[in-house]
Amino acid sequence: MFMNKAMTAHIICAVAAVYLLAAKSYKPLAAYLTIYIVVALLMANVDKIHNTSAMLLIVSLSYFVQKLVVLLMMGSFFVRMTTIPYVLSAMQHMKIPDAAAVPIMVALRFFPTIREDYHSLKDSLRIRKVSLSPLQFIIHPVRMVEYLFVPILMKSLRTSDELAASALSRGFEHMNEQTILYPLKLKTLDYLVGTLSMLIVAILFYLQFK
Amino acid sequence: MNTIKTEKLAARDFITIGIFAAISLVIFFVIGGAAGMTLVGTVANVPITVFFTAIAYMLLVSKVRKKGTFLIMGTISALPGLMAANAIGVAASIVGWIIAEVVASANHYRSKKVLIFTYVLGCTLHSAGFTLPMYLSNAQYLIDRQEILHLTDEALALYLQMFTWPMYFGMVALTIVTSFLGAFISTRILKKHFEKAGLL
Amino acid sequence: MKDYAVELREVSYQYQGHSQPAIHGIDLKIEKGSFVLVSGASGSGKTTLSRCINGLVPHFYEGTFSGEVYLNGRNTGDYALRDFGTIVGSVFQDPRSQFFMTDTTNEIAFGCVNMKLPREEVWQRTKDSLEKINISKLTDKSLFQLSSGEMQKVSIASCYAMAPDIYVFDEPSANLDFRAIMELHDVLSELKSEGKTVIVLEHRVFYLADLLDRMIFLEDGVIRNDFNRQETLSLSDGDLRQLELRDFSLDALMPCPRPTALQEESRLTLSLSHVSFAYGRRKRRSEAEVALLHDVSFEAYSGEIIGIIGDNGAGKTTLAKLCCGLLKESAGIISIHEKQLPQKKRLGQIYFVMQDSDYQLFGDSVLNELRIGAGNKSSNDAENQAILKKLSLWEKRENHPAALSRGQKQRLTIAGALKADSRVLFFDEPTSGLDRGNMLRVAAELKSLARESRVVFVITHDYEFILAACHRVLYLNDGKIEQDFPLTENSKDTVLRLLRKGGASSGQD
Repeated sequence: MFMNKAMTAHIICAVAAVYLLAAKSYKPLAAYLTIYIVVALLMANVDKIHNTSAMLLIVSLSYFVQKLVVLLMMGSFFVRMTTIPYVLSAMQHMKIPDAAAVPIMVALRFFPTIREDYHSLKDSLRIRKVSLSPLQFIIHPVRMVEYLFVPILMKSLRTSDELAASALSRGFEHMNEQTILYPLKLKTLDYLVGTLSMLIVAILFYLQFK
Repeated sequence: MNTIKTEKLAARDFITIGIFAAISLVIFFVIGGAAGMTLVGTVANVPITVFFTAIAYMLLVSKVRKKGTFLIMGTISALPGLMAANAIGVAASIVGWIIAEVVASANHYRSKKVLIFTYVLGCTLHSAGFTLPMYLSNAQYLIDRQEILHLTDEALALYLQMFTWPMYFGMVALTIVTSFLGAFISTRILKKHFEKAGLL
Repeated sequence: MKDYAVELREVSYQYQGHSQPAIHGIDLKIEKGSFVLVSGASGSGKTTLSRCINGLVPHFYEGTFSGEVYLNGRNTGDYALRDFGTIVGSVFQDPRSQFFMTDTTNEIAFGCVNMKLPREEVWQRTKDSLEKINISKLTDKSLFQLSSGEMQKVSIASCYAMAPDIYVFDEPSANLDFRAIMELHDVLSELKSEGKTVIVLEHRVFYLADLLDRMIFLEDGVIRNDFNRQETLSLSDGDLRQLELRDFSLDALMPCPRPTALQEESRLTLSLSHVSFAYGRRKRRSEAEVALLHDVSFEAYSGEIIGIIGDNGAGKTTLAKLCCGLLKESAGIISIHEKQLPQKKRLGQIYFVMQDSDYQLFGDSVLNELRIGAGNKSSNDAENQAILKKLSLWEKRENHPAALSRGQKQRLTIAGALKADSRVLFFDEPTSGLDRGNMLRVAAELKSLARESRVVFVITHDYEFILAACHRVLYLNDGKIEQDFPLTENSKDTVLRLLRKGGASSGQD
């Protein structure tokens, strides 16, 4: 968060790019890098602009963009490389308590369902001639909540009971007591990458606050 | 014999919380993302999103009236901050929700008014804690670049005074308003639909 | 004294907040290895009875329970809910809301990991399950890409891996198409041959005819009839009607008499000419939207009720969505009354009633439901009243739609269609999960809709319903209309054959 020197930001971006490369996510990598480079170039030449307001604007913009691009890159990496069973396994190894682990697992499993439900709902509303444009959200926020959120919530309420009944009927009680199906062991490569990353972060800290 | 109903959160409650946390996160990403396309929406992202996630929270705590519900829900909803490397913000947010949780637990999740208050408290503390690191960092960013921007000390101080800090406190205050509106309206909607249909 | 698989002694249960007990004074003994059909109208207590067997009552739902339940000779009074999984396998109605994980293998292993079995054993049991339930080809697949039938088999496999001796199924055929029902039959047959005790709650019974040993009929919370196999199969049509049961034998059914062909004033209403559809760069959303359409042409006249049949992925839903304006055709012309209609104009003129009524009702009362939508037409209360009265929903006008029964919700969605004043209507599986009475009711409503100068299309695999309602049948395969014929005594067998066929691979085999 406090890494504000330009060089620091570039290094972090490079690290994130390496991660993405490793995940073979080439198109997003190209897109993100392009945005980053454009903004960085703008920043580097900002003192050539003599309008203070414009300068401040560019500075603020570059700040947000730099941060955003890096986190989007890491987010993309994360989404590509992890699957839900491995997330589960990781949580089981780390002995994360049920109160956090179960909701997280259920939430992950539920995202695609919400997406499907939303599409069905949208089709239905179109047939009933109810518009769902962002404008409607601003003018009639309450009505939007009623037409869009309420049906999904109602269905989810029922689903939560059914899902719980199904899980409990199959003996579900404590997630961290279940048999771990995908044992995760830290391999040599992991140690290497981990150490390297920590080294880089340490160097950056040093540079930043020197 | 009657079914013994436990006061403590159990497996089935965690499942319910998970489902509603998923909905809350989806609302957060979709509405937050859409709002984030505009300048106003980016700055006022938290106040805007807490208005719309209110109904997921209110429904959840009406169904699962047990200690810890608000805390878990609030924590999971704040987790995306980790993806933004805002670990401090997430931690601050969790602390905020712990404080809010204390209020709701003391009341045993009984009164609707207390639930609304808890939501407002939680969201406000979340807004204060979650966004603080970004504002602090932003200020530092500008200070570091004072020379490049040819800003005088007065100009810099003025900018910070006019934009950064007023914005921070303004947004926190706005969060109080929007979270209250969201929770209040949600409670009415719950009554109009869910209680009427016998689901709650 | 031999052990029964299931024994209920004087069991009664009342849900909290209900004024009447759901079941009372139930005495029931089910022998090991027997196959029992449990029937009864909604609200008769069947589901509650099944819940007493799998432990959800009293450990999951809130209420007052009395009596004793014995499973395999042991009193379940001190059991906790987690103990039931290895004794009773439960398969619920909606496969979609049952799975905890996101892929098949982990889902099937779910029960085993809860049992804390060693990893190797979990994998072994999972593999066995996949084989026995005949879904090895679905190993490691994402659950979101499966059809309802496949999802349900995964559900069954998940129970199977825990090796229970007793299985309880709650209306398993409700969301399945014909082929999936046949496959379900095969799985049930396998379970029976392994000596398991199988209890199935159903209205739709034709696929159980060769499996059942006994039928129990519940009414108002008590067991009214208990027939053995022979008695069950020799029930007359009148008896079946009384028991709200569909028929045990499909071959014996005859189409209902109906006015042949068309009325005099019938006019060409909808026509499709060389219509094709292909996805642009949009991502596939769900299995229902996968299909493409190639060069589809047909004409439909007012007063007709046309059944659309075909496999999953054949293009039935795509056709409906295309016609009603949700999708844009990539080629061809769609016209009403000989006037071409581009996509935007079709919305509203052609109406689509989808399968899941949960996503079609938005109001907080039945009356307000009709007031939703654009224009001052919505607030024309006189019209709303007329529509509701016609569908017997007027007395329920202040009720919230979510509190209605399934049949009532179905009628409310039809009210929406009437309100839109469309000349062409599409219905997607309107009878899934409905018992005989409600199914016939839907048929009557569709007939009345058609009589008022409309064309009604019904996407369905419900053979009994097709015979009760349709004049004509369109068979879709791989995006093309392969057959288009009127429904007569002679052609009904073709319909049955096409439904059963399900031979064409939809790419998932």
